[in-house]
Amino acid sequence: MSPETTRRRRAIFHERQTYRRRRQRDAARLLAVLGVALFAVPLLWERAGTENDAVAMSSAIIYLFTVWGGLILISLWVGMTAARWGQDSDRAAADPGSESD
Amino acid sequence: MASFNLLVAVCLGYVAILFAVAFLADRIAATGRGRWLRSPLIYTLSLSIYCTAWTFYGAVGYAVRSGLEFVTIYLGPTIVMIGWWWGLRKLVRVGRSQRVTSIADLLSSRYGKSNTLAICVTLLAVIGITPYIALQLQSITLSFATFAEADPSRGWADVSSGLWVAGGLAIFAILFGTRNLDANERHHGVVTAIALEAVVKLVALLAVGIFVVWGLAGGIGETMARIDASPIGEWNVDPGRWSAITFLAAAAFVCLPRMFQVMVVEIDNERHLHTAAWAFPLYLFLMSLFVVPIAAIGLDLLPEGTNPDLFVLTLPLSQGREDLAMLSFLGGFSSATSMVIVASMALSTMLSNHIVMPIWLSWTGSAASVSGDVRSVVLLARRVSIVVILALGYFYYMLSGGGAGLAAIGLISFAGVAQMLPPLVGGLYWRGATRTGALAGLGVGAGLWLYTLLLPGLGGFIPDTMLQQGPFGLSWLRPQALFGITGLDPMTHAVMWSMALNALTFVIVSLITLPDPIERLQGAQFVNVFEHSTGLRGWTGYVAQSEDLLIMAQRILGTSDAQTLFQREADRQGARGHLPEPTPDFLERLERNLAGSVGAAAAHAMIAQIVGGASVSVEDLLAVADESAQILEYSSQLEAKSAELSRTARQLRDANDMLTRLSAQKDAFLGQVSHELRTPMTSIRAFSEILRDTEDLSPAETTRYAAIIHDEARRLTRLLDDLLDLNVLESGQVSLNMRAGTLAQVLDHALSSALAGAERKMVVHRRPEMENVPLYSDLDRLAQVFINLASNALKYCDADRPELTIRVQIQDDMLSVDFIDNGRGLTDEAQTLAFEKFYRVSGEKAGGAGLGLAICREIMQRLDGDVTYLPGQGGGAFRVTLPLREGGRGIDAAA
Repeated sequence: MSPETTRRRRAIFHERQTYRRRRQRDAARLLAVLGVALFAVPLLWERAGTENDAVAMSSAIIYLFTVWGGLILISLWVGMTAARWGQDSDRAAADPGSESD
Repeated sequence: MASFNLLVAVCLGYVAILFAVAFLADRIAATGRGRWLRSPLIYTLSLSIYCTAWTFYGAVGYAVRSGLEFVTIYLGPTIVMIGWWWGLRKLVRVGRSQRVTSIADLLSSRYGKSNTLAICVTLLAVIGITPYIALQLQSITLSFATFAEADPSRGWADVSSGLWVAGGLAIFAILFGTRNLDANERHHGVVTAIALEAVVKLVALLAVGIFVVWGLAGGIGETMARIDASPIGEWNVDPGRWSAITFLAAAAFVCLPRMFQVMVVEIDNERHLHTAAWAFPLYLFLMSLFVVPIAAIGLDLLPEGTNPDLFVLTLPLSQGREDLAMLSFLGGFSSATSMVIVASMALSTMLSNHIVMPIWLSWTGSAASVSGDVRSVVLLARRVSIVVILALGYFYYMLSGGGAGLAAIGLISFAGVAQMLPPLVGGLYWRGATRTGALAGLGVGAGLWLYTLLLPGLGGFIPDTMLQQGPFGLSWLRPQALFGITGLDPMTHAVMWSMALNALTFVIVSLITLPDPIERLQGAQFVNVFEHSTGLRGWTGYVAQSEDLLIMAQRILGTSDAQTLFQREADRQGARGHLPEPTPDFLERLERNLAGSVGAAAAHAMIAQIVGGASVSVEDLLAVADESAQILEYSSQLEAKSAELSRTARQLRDANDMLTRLSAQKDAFLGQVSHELRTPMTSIRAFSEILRDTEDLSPAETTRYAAIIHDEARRLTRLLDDLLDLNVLESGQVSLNMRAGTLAQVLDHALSSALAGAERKMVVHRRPEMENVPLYSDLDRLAQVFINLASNALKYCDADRPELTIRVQIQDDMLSVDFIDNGRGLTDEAQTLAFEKFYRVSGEKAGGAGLGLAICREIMQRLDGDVTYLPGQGGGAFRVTLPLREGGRGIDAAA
């Protein structure tokens, strides 16, 4: 196969819209990782009964629910964009790993 | 003060509304209308059965005891939902494409349709979920009791109320959960009812929360201050438990049979996940938002010793807000009932499909499976299973006495069902996972769970001495400190050991065992589900005949309706004529239309019959495999045939080459013969002309010329004799005159003939003692060969004193007679050509026609022997070989 036909079969650079959708999909996948990381932060907090002052319950609540709410908002954005992902799925098949999970 | 009677009335009214909603939803779904029943909102709300009474009431109690640790129960599912792209998407796709009915069915299906595995999973689920159901019954009776205490006019027996509740739930589950045979079909009634209950419990908790924050505490700032001042005002979460319970909740969210039921089995459209991914975490967020404020304010306002598990109920009651308490009660009631209904439905499906039906079928034999009564048996089995599960839950509640032991059961239950996670994840992502591995891992995990968590947690099952010192005094086997690890909280300890060893065993056993073919096929179907399935409904058959579909649809929908439907579809597809292409979309719409008339299960079955299945089943694949095996076999036969043909072709080509060569030889032979005949004929003609035309010839000249003519004529005769002889020999028409004799006689005769009257003298060396060999052959012909060889030696031996040695040998029934002279022998070229016709060593010196050796070879081959040149003997040497024969055996064949 000549280099020209290879290039035609598998586009390396996509138009802007497709590129956007790809990155949104990446974000959707990373969201859970981000959630795990953010929810693991309290593991490092000072607990009651130790020498230093423990984190106050109100701060803990604000942190956790802010993170939680943020994740929900991102997930809302992902869910709304996800409806359009199907449109370039045929082209996505050429992208290694994009449908491989 | 709210009367207890009012509470019972409200409760009954609420149940009546639930029944009505479920009934209506089923009716609407049956007519094919009600798009909203399949909306993502209903799906998200149905997921809320995750929040049971344990979380509705218990979260506040949990917060009082352990601070923010309660939130881990919600964080796990949140992570699973926002990570839907990784896990749930695949799980749902697999569940839809394989049309699984429960998590036991999914695991069984993945691991080669193993019923053993399904039974193990079912038993584990029943053991894990029964205490959980007991917990729900307890929460309902407790909340009843709370109201009863507030209304002293009524005597209240909480145990009997548990029975009533269990009975009512069983009836609801049976009525709406077992209406249809196809468990894979949506239970719109149940799902809609639990969606309504989800709204009620969210509203109830939010109402109590808002009342507490703005009604009692006086705003957010005030609330935060009072929280910080309360006994739970500081961060006090054990990191091990934080991670372990988050993980457990995430695992249980996927593995709990009731969650699997609403999340995978009841899903209508994969795209619902897009909505649920944010909406369900939002639901959980709202459910937990006011837990800590309620706990802190409750601790502040309520008298010491009040059960914190019922703060949600007692706080409004203590403030005189019966309406709010009533709403809160309904919220808790909703949480408990929805969980019990779906859990019992899911478990009953597992029990009837994997335990009751296999037993029943093997009991009644295969005859029953073809008759129509299977349907009623399955339904009966499901209904009985529901009753049995609720009875189990009730008895468990009775036995445990409704004490505090139950409060811990929620997490213990989670840890039990979480044991299904390694085989589930392994099955979805790793093709190497095997049934044996899954069974072994599940066995190890479940055993450790029983030993380290369930039995010690229940109290009374394991004696204290064993907890303290380990079984048989083996301290490293202490249930809550395996291998001497004592620093861990029992829950973290149990989760860590059971999950780690479960996964380890699963992986190791999978690595060393071999899956059977169905397992491997299913493994590929599961792991590569996105390559095998196209859509959520899984209609992949493009082979359906649109005409067949139309005929079927006409029978059910009526001729004009069906034709209108097909025409509309054809127009939509832009197809000419009246028949649309059987695309998955169209099949799905058609199935929905048919479902309105005959029910979804029947519609699905009918389309499946025409289309040929929802997706490729293992049987299909096996059939395909068989077919390919046959094709392979056929093609190997073809290959063999083609090899045979090419062999034949090669043989024909060889034969043709040989014929061409023979033809060329014949031409050359004829040319040579003509040449040989022409030479004497020329001299005969010349000398006979001289004799005729010359008159004055002297008598001496006349005599000389006549002698020449005579000689030439003799030569011609000899040549023609030889040619005739050769021709007869070559054509195989020679008749051999077989008789017995000895080699010595033949040699004597031959040598005397050859040497008699010769001009040169030749010494012949013989060894008479070797020559006394009995022969059975054509002795005259043999003698002819010997004469030829001897006279050749006499003619061509160029030694001064020619000598001929005759050597006789017997080897393996073959007699060989060598004629060796002391001349120079034949040149290389002469050796290869000596046996060709008309070959003469040195021109016409010896006067022969060059046919002698050719004739010798022909004779010997007729006699099953041969004559060859024997190089390297110091002179010309020819070897005559001849088989030794007793009688006439084999001669007939040669003749």
